[in-house]
Amino acid sequence: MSAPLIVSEEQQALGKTARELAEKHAPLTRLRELRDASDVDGYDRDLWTQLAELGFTALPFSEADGGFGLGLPEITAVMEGLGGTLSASPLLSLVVAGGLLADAGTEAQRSAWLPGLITGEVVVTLAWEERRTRGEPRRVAMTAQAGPSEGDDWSLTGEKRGVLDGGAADAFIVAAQLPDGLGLFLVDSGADGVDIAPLTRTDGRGASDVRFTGAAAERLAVAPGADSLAALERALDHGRVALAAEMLGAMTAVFQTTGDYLKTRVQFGKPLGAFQALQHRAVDCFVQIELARSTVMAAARAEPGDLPQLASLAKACAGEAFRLVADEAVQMHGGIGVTDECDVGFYLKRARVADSTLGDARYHRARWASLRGY
Amino acid sequence: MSDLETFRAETRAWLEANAPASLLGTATSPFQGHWGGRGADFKDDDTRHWFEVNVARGWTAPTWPAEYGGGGLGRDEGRILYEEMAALGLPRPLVGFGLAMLGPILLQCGTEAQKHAHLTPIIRGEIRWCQGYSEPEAGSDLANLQCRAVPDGDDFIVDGQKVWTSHADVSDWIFCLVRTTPESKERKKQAGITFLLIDMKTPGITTRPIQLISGASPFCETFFEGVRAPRANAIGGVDQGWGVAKSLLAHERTAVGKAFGGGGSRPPILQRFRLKDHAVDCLGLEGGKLADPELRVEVARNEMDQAALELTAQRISDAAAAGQRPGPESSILKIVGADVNQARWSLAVDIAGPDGLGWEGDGYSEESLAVTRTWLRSRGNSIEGGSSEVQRNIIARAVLGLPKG
Repeated sequence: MSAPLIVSEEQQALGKTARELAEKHAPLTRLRELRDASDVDGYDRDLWTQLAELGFTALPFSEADGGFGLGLPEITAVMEGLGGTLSASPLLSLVVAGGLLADAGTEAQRSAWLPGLITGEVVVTLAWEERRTRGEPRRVAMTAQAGPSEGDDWSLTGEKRGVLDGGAADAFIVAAQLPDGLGLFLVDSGADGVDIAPLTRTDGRGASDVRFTGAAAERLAVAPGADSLAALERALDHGRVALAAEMLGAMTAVFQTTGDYLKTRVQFGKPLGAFQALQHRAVDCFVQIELARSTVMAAARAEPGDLPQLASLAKACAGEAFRLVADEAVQMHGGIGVTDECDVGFYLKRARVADSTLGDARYHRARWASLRGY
Repeated sequence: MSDLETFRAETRAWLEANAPASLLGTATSPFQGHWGGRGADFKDDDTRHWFEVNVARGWTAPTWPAEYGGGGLGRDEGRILYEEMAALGLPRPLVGFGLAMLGPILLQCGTEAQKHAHLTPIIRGEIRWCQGYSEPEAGSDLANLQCRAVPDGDDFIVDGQKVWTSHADVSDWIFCLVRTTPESKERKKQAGITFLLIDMKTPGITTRPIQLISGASPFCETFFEGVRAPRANAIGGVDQGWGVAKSLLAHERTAVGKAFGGGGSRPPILQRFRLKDHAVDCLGLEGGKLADPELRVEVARNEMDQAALELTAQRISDAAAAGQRPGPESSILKIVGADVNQARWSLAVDIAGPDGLGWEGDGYSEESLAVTRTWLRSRGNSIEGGSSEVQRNIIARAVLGLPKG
């Protein structure tokens, strides 16, 4: 029997701490400042320090590795709490790439990188998407070649598109094809043949194109018969659920802002919220948010065998709901909604980028169908 | 083991020992079972046996007090019993409006005399109840109802018409809303309404089934002409019926929403219908994918919407089981349930292609005819029990706190 769909008091408290932290140290004005400063890293270093001091960077790692050994129910509580103000941090990269390194790294790689990841002092990110992958790891085209020397020595050539936190990364985990299937490789971001080109994206957060030209790489531990693709899928699914939770926090916040506006903005002698045409659309937003919340709660508490399907469900529902709520937030704010001065535009932009990150809703519907055998 | 775990194990053992093998795995929704009533026939001997062994334990109404013949179980125990019945695919030993709707109201608002008079016959499946709320001029605007009840000694004399009374033609008693004080400018129309119980055998009552676009006739028009009903049958006091009805409506919407969580009501031949199997059967697979890429996406969308709905229903019951206060999410079940159910059957007809166009006759399989008629029946889902538009009005005001229009 699967775990009950309940957010425990401890998880609620964790989420509240994260939300208060974001509201105090990373309100939306901080994202505005990052954008206006064209910040290369694209994340809030002060917030990251605070998160590390509170131990949030240790959340996804096992106690044996020096972490807290908490799972997706706790991670999603934190992500949702941080999502409300669109606070920018490499926490998603930590969940995905840190989780993958802990899961599939060699002993040497784990002892070299995990301590710094747990204290938040280093950033490792996953470089896997290419122009044509569109959320599907099976479409990775980049290949890895055996290096010049004997032993575990590889060379990577090719380009990865839109690598999250690429400008801030100390190392990349790179997905590339081998003759017998997908492989995972660790590459130092300062190595020769690694060229990082920061992108300025609509949501103001950090992402880069990363070109590898014969860059030296170590392979992650792959036990004989073990499947790198499965390890990557698992890490991506954890990331999808965590990101869906962040989106849930964001859509809840922008819906709240919009509801407040509907109650206070007066036109034709009455508040906007008294017009039935707007009331019904506001209810439709509320409905989609609540459905998305159920799917995120279920995905975070899924048995391993159910995770792929439930992660796709949560990511698709969150993606469509966030985009709907953000579109409606702009529309219901009227003229002010399309000005840069109004915060709702940041949510609209973030909704688009977040939906397309780790596979958009369209991809996850197709993946659901494939997982269900049709 | 905790007390509840012990109860679960004992319950499972009792069900396995007492449920007829022919009924195991036959039910897919909590709305399947014997309906009871004065004229009730059992589908077969096993259904009768299953009903009788449960009546003996009070398990037709597991959480109702034992003094009326109920099971006397706590809320958690009652939930576990239904979970275990569902796990074995067993139909409920008894279903109907008396159990689902009137009983909870009597327990909340009824006098001792009223509880003793009506709860036991419900539990024993002796009386089948129907609901008389809507009228020709009181649909979504229910408070506009006009059916009059005028005092006459110890009785009321009832004159008027009800509509959409489910199964009124086969029911024994009706619980209905009647106007006991005329509307006036000084008072809201919600005042002056009484919740009244009437025996359908009383002279002056006639029923006429309504044929739906699906061809089925589950609803009736019910006419009252000089119908005499004791004043003692008013529940919650004369002119206090609106408050009684409102609490019942909230109950009904949750129940209906939960039913949609289980895939909506459907005819027996479609109990095992699954959209994806239907699609694979009608369209075929090419390279492991449905041969029609657009329908493939639509099937996935409907399955995912259904999954999100089911998870929401589960979230509501898990929160209740953990003693958490109900959140606003329970208000969405009726709207979403109707949407998902309508989308499923409409898509099923699309997928069936030429097989989906039949009304009756040998040219179409029994299952494809059922799919088409279930699609037609599902169009009513967003109208019955409070239209989706009325639900949105309620959520806008009560949950989102938006101002009155």
